[in-house]
Amino acid sequence: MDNQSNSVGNIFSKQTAYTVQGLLYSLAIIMASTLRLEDLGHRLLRELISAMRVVHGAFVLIGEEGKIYEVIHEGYTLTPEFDENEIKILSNQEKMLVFSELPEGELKDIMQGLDVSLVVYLRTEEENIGLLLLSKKLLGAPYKPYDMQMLKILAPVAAVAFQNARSFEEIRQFNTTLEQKVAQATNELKSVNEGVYKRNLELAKVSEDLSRANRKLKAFDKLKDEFLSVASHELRTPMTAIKGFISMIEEGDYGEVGDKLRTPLRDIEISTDRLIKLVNDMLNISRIEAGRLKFAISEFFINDLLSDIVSSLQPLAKEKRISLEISEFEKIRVQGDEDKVRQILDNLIGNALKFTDKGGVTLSKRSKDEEIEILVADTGIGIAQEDQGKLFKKFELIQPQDVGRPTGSGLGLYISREIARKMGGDVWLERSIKDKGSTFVFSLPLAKMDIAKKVKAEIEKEALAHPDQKTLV
Amino acid sequence: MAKILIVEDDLLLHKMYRKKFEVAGFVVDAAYDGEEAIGKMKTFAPDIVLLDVMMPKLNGIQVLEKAQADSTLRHIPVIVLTNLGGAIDAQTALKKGAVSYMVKSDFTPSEVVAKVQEFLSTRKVG
Repeated sequence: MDNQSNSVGNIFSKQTAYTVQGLLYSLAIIMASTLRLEDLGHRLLRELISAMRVVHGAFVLIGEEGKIYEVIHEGYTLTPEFDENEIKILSNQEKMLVFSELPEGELKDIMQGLDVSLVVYLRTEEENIGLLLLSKKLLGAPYKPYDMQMLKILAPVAAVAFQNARSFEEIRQFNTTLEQKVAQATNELKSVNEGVYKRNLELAKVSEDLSRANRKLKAFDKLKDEFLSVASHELRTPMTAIKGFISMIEEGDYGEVGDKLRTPLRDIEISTDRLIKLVNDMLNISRIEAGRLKFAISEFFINDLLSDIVSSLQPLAKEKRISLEISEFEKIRVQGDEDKVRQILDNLIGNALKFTDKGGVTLSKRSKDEEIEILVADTGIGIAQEDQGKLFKKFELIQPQDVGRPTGSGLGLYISREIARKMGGDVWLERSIKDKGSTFVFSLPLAKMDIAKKVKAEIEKEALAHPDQKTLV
Repeated sequence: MAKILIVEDDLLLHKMYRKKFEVAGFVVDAAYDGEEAIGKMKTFAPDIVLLDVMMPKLNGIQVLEKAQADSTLRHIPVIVLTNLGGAIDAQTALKKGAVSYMVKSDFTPSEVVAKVQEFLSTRKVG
């Protein structure tokens, strides 16, 4: 059969005739110029259908495990539906299936059901690409041998074209997926970034809140300092005036004072002293608790200080007709803030004198490796067992049984202990027996010892940490 | 008769110390702020100065600095008498040239007078 005879053999219309070479050529151009799978399928089908005058045709492309991968169809009035099993059965054949040549059986039934006259296999060397299904020709014209010839030539080439198109599609999809993934990742990154940004904003806000709170605290601290300063100066100034004028009245600077006035004047004087002490104590506590109490650490002889204090308190002891003495105290060099050590000893000895009516107060020492312990023992009223726990608490005044004894602020021992501890020492109650007396102990580091050095270093470090803080009160 | 300059901005305290020192036989002059104190130190030429710290215009520490910088005033002894009472302030005052430091509320006026007399007598002896 040559091309010419084929053409001539077409009895219906010259227009409908095609040459195998001509059709293959135009199909080849389609295949060479079309990359997209769907475009390829549709263009091939349109070319085939119109050249061969077929009613409808379809490419059923098969993917992995014989699954239908893609259906491209032309000429159908309704979208064709293909059963996967039927397509599998059709694909399992070796040769092109021609309906008219098939014996009755499953294959023929399937083809009939699908309204298909020809089944062409699209195969490359490696794989099954799919099927080309062609219906009968228009007006029932039969398929000719040159149709078969043309399709046999087309089939492997189309298979490769579809394989390429599928690869291209996969790459394209992969690219798209990749792009989507990149876009998604970008979005995720963006949202992460936004999250980070948001969190940074939140952090910045928290940080700002903190620094605002800090500023407030600092302002508050300053306010407290100012209050302390004002309290110190403004409260003490009128108290100084009251105290001063009363003393001057008592001393006769404003004329002779009658006996009747002596007692109330003395009471006012005592109250004023108490008031001054209370203000001083409160200020001390504020400073201790704010960590702003300054220590001027030095080395000094504790025995000298004790002698000094005892001689200054001796008049009070004499007034009460009790003894106040130091027992066995050689020269001992200690380390501490001398003013504060004096304050503690004043407090302890003052308390002892206050609560002792018979006998007296004795100061003695107990030497330790690196410390000296100063014992303040009295023969006073003692402290009830149940009250001993309250001794070193703020504002815990133990109510003495006997009315009329001068009361304090309830801060003295608390302050003494706090100050002593800051200097590396301590204050505690050694023993107390009701109506027999009490012994308080004040320990302090000996000069040049390890404890002393450590304490000194710590206090210096603290002073460096707050160099700008001035002690105003 | 010893001459004393009392530098104190609180009127009541001022009146109080003036009275006490006059009773004790001192010749008293007064300044109510730091600037006035420097001026009075020059014109009144006191034997001793009682100096408050918290004051208008110049505070006590600044007065000490100015006095120390002035060769005509440097020799006048100054006792700082204040109600600001901390170790640091005492040290600052002493470092700036004060001869002594007293916390007002801790002492009655007669104790202050006694301290001043004690200082002046040891100074005369020395």
